[in-house]
Amino acid sequence: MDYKRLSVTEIREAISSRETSCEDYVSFVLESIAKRDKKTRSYITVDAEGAIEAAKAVDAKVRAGRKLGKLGGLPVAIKDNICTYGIRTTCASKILERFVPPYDATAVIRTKSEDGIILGKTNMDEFAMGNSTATSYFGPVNNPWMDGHTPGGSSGGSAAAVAMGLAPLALGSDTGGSVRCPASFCGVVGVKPTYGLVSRYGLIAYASSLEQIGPIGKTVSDCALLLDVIAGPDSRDSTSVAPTNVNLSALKRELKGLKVGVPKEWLGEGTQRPVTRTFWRAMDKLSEVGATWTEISVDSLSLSLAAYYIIAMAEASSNLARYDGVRYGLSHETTAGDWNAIYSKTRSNGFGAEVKRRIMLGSYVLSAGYYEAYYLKAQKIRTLLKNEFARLLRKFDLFAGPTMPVLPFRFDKLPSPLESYRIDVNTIAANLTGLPAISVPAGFAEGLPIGLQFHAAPFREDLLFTAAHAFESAADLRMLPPGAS
Amino acid sequence: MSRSKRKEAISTQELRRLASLARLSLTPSEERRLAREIGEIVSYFATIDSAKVERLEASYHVVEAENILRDDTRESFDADSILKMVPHKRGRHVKAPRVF
Repeated sequence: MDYKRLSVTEIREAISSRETSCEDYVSFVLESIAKRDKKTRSYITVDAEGAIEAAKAVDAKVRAGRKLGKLGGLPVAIKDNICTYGIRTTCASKILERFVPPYDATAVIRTKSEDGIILGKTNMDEFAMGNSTATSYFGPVNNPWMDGHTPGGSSGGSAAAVAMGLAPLALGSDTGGSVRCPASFCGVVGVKPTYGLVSRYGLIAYASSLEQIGPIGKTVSDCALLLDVIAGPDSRDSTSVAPTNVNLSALKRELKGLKVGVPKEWLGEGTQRPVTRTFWRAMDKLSEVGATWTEISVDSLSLSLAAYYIIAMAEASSNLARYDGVRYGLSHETTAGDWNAIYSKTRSNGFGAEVKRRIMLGSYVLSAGYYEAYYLKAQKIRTLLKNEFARLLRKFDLFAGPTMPVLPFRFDKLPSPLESYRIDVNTIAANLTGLPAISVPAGFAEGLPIGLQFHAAPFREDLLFTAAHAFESAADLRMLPPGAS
Repeated sequence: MSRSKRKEAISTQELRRLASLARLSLTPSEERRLAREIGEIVSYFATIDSAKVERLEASYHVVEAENILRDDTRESFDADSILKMVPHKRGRHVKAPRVF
């Protein structure tokens, strides 16, 4: 069967109608990984054996005449900071190089229970701290569209795998843009759900008040399918909430009457010209399908980036304090000596440069004398931003902007740490406010993809999907990188 | 304190205080690099100095979290799969450096 030409829905139907077998399809994907991932490096661990075994179980279910779950035998790649029972979960860090979780994350349990097949674990920035995958202990992921360029991060492996056809669907996590940035840089679709929509149980914590697990797929409807599977309250995560207004099947709705605000701060001075041009062309397309847009100003966005990094680093320094090398993970060769000295040696050996930088900055903003000036103030700015968006949401259904202000950059021209933080300027608002957001391919410049981003009101993922789907259909971009299957 | 004015590296003394809070032992070259980078980033953080937010409440979370109680049943992991992960052991006991 020529899987390359089939959509995710068509493959799922072929499996359930026994036109093909799940095992045949999963073998095809595994062979593609074996052949082509040496260059892309989108996976850290591939669980070929487990995937084939699960595929056989799906085939047995079909033969027995039983109805398949929503994923119907589709394979899913899982970002390597989401725990998988019996499959090592490294966070792309030396400190967790050999960590094998004794349990599955809730998102993984839900994926499996809807007959999704776990393919393996994808490469990422160490502990999800970055937007390039350059900080991975296992080496960076190559952008599928152009050698030597970043795929974005931190979920770069998940996005690159989907773009290359090395997984039809993938899970990532988004703390400040980590699903949307790589989706934009790899020419695929990525969703950061409303905070609380998806359980974080089993997501290895970096900044707990900001992050959500989100789907990555080639199309908007692929992402809607996977989000539908993983969403919903979970007694293991007290911040997960019952969705009140999520209607993921409303993809066909037209955009007439839809009001879109375009914050001028999302097209600030750091925005590269090809990005601006592509964005405005995309907005023209959106108007053609019925939406109206207005340029607006969101004043508190100018304070938000610094506030975001203060909060993220503070939470990181606290969350990463658990890596002491005692119960799991890398450890100093001996336990002889003082606790603090050995603890510090383990961590210095196990963490990479960006992780060290962030936990030190987190310690700084939380330490006596600085707490109020930085951490407390940042949390108040978060309230300011939340209130401002809440007010604007009375007038607008959606907010739009370029997902990233820049094109995917080269690994040999990596920005400085501070410069790299600055390019998250358009993605962090969704994390600070908890609003849902999506990135959908908008076009190309210099052979590299550019993403269009929407934000919506809490639990209005249906609006994100509707607008992104209408745009995707109107734009009709052919998104297949060279060498993809 | 010249927090908002600082554009240069933080002092070695301050850097070492942070490293000790973060439980990291740094090499001299890491110290030099981090002092510069942290100084630059902290001075960027100071851009929030101008924000007039005194009257606002802090948003530590974006959703109202409520207590969720699970059924009072025993849930446990398989001890062997957890012990397999322990770096230093004596028998089935976890070995750790001395605290005092």
